[in-house]
Amino acid sequence: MAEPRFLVVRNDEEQYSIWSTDRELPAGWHDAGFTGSREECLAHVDTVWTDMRPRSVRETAS
Amino acid sequence: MTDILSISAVQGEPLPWPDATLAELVVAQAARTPDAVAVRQWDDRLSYRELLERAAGVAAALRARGVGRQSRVGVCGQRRPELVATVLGVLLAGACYVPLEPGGPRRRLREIAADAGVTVVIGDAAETEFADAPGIAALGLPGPAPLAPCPARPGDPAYVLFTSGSTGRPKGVLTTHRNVVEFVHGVAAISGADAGVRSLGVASLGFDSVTMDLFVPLLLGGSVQLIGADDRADPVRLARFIAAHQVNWGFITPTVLAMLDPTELPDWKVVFCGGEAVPAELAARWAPGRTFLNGYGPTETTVLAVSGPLTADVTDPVPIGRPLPNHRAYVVDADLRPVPPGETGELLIGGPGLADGYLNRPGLTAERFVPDPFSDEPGARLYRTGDLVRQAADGRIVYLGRADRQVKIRGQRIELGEVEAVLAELPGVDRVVVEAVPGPSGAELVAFVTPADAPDDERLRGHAGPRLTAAMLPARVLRLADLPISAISGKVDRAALRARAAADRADDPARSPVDPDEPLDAAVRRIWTRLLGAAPTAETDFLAAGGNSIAAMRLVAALRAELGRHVDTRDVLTGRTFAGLLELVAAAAAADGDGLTTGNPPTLSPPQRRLWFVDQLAPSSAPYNIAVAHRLHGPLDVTALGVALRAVAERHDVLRWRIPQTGGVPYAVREEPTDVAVPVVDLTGGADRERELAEMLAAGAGHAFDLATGPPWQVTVYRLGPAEHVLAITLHHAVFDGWSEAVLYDDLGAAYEQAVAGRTPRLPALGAGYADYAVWRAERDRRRGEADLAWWTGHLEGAPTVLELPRDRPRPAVQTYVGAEAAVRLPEATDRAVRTLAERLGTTVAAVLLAGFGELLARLTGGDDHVLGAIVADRRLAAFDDVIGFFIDTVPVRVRTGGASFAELVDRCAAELHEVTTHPGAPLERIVEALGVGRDTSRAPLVQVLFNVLNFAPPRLALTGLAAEPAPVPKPGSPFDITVYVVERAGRVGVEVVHNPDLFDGERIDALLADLAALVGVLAANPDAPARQVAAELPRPTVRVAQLGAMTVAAAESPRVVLPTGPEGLTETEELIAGIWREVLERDRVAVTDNFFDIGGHSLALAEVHARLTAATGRSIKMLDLFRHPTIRALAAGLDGAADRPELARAALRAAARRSRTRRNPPRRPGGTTH
Repeated sequence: MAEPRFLVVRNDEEQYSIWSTDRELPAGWHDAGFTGSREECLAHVDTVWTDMRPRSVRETAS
Repeated sequence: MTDILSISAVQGEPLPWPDATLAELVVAQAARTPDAVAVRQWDDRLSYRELLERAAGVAAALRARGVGRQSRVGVCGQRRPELVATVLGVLLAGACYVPLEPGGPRRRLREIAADAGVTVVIGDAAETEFADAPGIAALGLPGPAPLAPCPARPGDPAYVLFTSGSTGRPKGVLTTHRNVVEFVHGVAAISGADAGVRSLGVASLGFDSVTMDLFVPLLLGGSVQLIGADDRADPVRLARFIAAHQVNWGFITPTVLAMLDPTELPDWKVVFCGGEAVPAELAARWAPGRTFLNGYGPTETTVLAVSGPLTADVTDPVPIGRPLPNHRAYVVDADLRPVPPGETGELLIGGPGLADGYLNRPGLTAERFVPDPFSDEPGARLYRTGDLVRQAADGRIVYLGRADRQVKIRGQRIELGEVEAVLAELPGVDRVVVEAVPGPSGAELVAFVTPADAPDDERLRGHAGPRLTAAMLPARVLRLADLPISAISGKVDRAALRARAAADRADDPARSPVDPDEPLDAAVRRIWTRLLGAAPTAETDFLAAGGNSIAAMRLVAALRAELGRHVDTRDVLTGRTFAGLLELVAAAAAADGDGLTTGNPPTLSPPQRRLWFVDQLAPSSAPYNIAVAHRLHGPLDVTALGVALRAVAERHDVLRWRIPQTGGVPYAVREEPTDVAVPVVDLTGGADRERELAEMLAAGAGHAFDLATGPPWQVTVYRLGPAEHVLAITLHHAVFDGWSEAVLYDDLGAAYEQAVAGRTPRLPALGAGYADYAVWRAERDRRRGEADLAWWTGHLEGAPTVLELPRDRPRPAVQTYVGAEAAVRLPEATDRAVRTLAERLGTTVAAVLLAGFGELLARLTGGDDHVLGAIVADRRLAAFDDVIGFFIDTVPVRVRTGGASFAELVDRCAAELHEVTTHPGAPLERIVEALGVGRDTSRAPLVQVLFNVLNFAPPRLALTGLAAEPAPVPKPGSPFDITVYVVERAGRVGVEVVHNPDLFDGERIDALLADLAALVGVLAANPDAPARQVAAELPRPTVRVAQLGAMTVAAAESPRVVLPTGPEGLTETEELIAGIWREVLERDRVAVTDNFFDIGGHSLALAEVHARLTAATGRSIKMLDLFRHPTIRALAAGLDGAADRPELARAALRAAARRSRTRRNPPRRPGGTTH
C-alpha cells in the first residue's frame, strides 16, 4: 500500500499546515505548492515558515 | 458544513469578548476599583492601585533595557504578591513573559531561556538564579514608576509556556492576549464568576491553569489569593490558607484535591478540577453543596477547552463536559474524519483559544494545528489533542486515554520520549524505555535501562536532575540485560515491562494495619514504605527513593493522621534521609501531640479579635493596658537595656504585631525587629520627684495605643538619681497577659546580662509563637465549639444577664471605663479560718472567697443567682509556656446561693470554677451571642463584675548589677463595673478591687470590702450553719442602700426624627443601612425595627457594617453609634440628626445609596453551554 500523500497548505494568516491529497481543501486554505509524505511535508514547512507570527500581527508590528 | 447530528461534534455557545490586551483590561479595572484588593497572601495585600504602580515600575525598568512589543522576558520570582506585579509589568511593557521557576532544574531553565530568546530575566529570584547566566541580564524588582500605555495588540503573545516534548526538548506554546481574554470571559460565564471572585492562586507560573488563578480575578475585579511556597507544600497548611482567605473559586488537580476536606472549606463554592482524570469518588465527596466542574484542556487551547459540572452520582470514567463558549469539539478517526457518537476517536478542538503554535517549531505546529474542514470560518484551524475520547449520548465528552506516549504525572504533562532521550544521553546507558505505572501516590515513572550494569541510581539522578523537572524524574530504575520484545509486533513489549514493574513492587511489606503499640520507628517505616513503595534503610534519601512534593505532602498527612505528629513538608524535603525523618518525628512529639503547627504567619486569636473590637468601641480610654514598673537601684545601662528589649521583641514576635483592619475585619501584620526606643525622663531636678513620678506612671499606664499602627507596647525610664531609676513598661492586653509578665522579666534579665557584658544578646528561639497558638486555638474552637457552646447555654439557662450593685450615680449611657482602686487585707484570724476551711473542703482560698462574695451579692441584690466573670488562662500546651501573648479568656461563672450552708456554697463555687475552665471552645463572644443577650452601650454584655482568681506570685525583674523592686502603678482603667482580685500579700490573703468611680464612690467600695472581709470571716468560722442566717447584719446599710435615683441609666441625647421619604417608606439613609445589613448578615430581608443583635449580628459583624457604612457615606461615624442605635431606624435617625449640614449629608447618602443599589445587582448567571 502506498504511503499517504500530503499537501503543504497555508491560510490567509500565512499559517502552514498539511492536508491529505485525497480530501477537498477546507475553505480559506490554499495549496502552498509542495506535495510529499507526511514527514517530507513537515520538513518542508520547517524551511518555509520562517516568521511564525500570523500575518495580521506581523503587519501591525513595526 | 457537515451534518453534525450524525457525527461526534459539539459546539459551545457564542459569547462576545472585548478586543483588548490583558494589560489594558487590568488597567481599566484598576481605574474602576483602585482600592480593592487585587492580590493577597495573608497580611500581604496589593490593591489594584498598588499592583499597577509596581507593574508600571517593572515595565519602566524593562523599557529602559530595550524591551518592547513582542520581546520575550523571563520571570523568575518567589510566590509573593510581587510576582503578580512582575508578570503584569512584563505585559504592560508590551512583552511576552516566559516563566522560569526559581529552584527548577537549572540546566533546563537555561535551555528554555535560550530557546525563547530571553535576554532579560526579572523577579525577586532572577539574580539568584541567573546572575551567572551568560547573555542574560538579571533584574531584581524595581520601585514604582508612572504608568505608560501598553504597546501590545490583542494578537500579540502574552506568554510562552514550555511543556514536555517527545524528542527530548521542551516545546514552547505561544499564547496571545486574545486567547486569554476570550478564555477568561468564557470560563467566567460557565462558572458565574464576577467581582466577588477570590481565586485559588495555587498553580505554578509555568502551568497553564495559572491563567485561571491570576487573570480571571484581575479582569473581573476580584482578588488572587496567592498561596506561598510553604503553604502550598503541606495539605493542612493549604487547607488553612484556603479557609482563611475565603477562597471561593479555583482550579486544582484531583491529586491535591483528594488531600483536602470539603467540610473545612465551605466558602469554596466553585471548584474546577482537572489536569488529569477526575475520579468519580472525588466528585461524590466534593460536588454536594457546591459547583464542581471538570476542567479539561491542553496548553495549546489556552487553559480549558471542555468543561462541565459533575454531580455526586457520576461514575467512572466521568465526562469532561462540553466545549467552552465559542469553541468546537470533534471526535475523529486517524484520517481526521468524524466518527459516529459513542465511538472512540481523537479529540480535536477549534475556537479562539487555539494558541498561535509552538515557538520556533513550524513543522510541529503544522502537524498539530490542522485545517478545520467542519467550520464556516475560512482558514480556521483545529488542534489535535492526541486524547482519545467518545461522545456520550447526552452530548458530553468522555476522556478515555492518550493516543500517544504522553502521560500525566501529578498533573504535569510528560512525553515519555523526552525522559527517555535525556536518560539515553548518559554514557553507559544503552537502551531506555520509560513507562508510567500505577504507584502508591498516583502514577509514577519507571525507567527500564540496559545493560544490566548500567549506571547506578545516583549517577542517573546526577545526570537527569538538572535536565528534568521533578515530575519527570523516574521514581524507580530497573536495569535489564535486554528489553523484552513482542513476538507479534517485533517492538519493545511495553506491557511486559509494566508487568515487571508491578512485580518489582510486590515484595512490599507495607500494607499491614495500624498497630497502636507499634514502636515509632516501625510506624514511620511502615508509612514511608507504603508511600514510596520500598522499605528504607537509615540512609535512604527521600528524593532518591522516588519521593516528591506530593509524596511529602502525603507523608506529612499520614504522620499526622496515624501518629498524631506534625512535621513540616519543608523539613522532609531538606532532611531527606529516613533517619533524619525519624528524628523529626521524634522531636515533633513533645510539642505537637495536640494538633499544634508551627511557623504560622501572624494570625489573630479569637480573644484578640474581641479585644480589638472593644478597643474600637472605646478608643480614647485604655482599660485594656497592662502597666508594670520596677525601681532599680544601681548603675543602669540604658543602651544595654534597649538592646535587651530588642532581643525580647525578636523572640516574641507578637510584640511587633499591629492590627489594622480592612472592611471591618481586623488582621495582624508583623513588623521586622527594630531597636526599641527607651526614652529617659529626667526627674532629678524636680521639687517633688515622687509625686511627679506617680503622675507620669499613671499617664504612661493610660497611654492610648493605636493597634493599627503599633507597636503595642512602650518602655520609659524615669531617672531619679545617678543610681536610681524606675523602669516602666505599658503593654496592650492584646499582646500580653499576667503569665507573660514572668516570661518578659526572665527574658529581659537574660538579655540584659549579655548586653552589659558587651555581647549581642541571644535568646533561645521559641518552639511555637503566638500565631501558632491562634491557629491551634481556632482549630480547637472549631472542633469543640458547638459542644462547648451547648454546654454554656445549658449551664447559663435562666441566669440573669445583668448584675446591678447598689451604687451612687446613675449608670452613664455609655460605659466610661474609668478606674479607681481599693484593697482590703484579711485579718489574721479570718485568713486562718479561710485557709482551714479550704483545706477541709479540699479546695482553694479563691473558691472560699468567691462563695463569700456570692453571699454578699445575694444580700446586696436580693437575688440568689448571679453571673460573674472569671479569668481562664488558655495555656494548655507546654509549648506556650514561654510565649508572651494574650492567652486569656473571660468566662461566665454562675454563683447560686440560697438555702445552703457556707461549706456547701464553697463546694459549689469550687466545682463551678473548675467546670468553667473545661469548655474553652466557645469564647465569651459566642456565648453572649447564643444567649441572645441584648447589647447595650452602658455596660459590658453578660459580665459586669469580674472575679479574678488567677493567683500568680508577682514575678520579679532581676537585672545584672541592679537591685529591683516592684513599683506601684495605678490601674489604667476598669473594663468592668467592678473587678475583684484575690491576692496574697506578705503571707496574708487580701482582696483588691478596681471599680468604676462613675458608678461608685470610693467610700462605698471601701465599706463593701470591709464588710466582705468581715462576712467571710464569720462564714468561714461557721461553715455548717445556713449561710443566710450568719451575720445577718452584714452588709451595713451604707453598702446595701443605693443613692436615691442612682439605679437608673442616664438618658442619652435623643436623635432628631427624619420622616420616611423613600419608595418603601424608608428614608435614603435607612435604605443604605438596610442594604449593608442585608449583605453583611446575608439575609434577604431586614426590617427597620429589627435589633441588629437579634437577627444574627455580632460585634465583628458590626465592625464590618461600620467599615462599609463609613466607606459608603465618606463620613466619620463612631462605632459606638452603631451600638447605641441597634436598629436601622434608630441608626439612620442618629446619622441624619448628627450631620452638621443635613442637606449635604443627605446628598452624599443619596449617591451612596445609588452605588449600593448598583452593587446589589444579582451576579451574572452561567452561560447556556452547560445546560
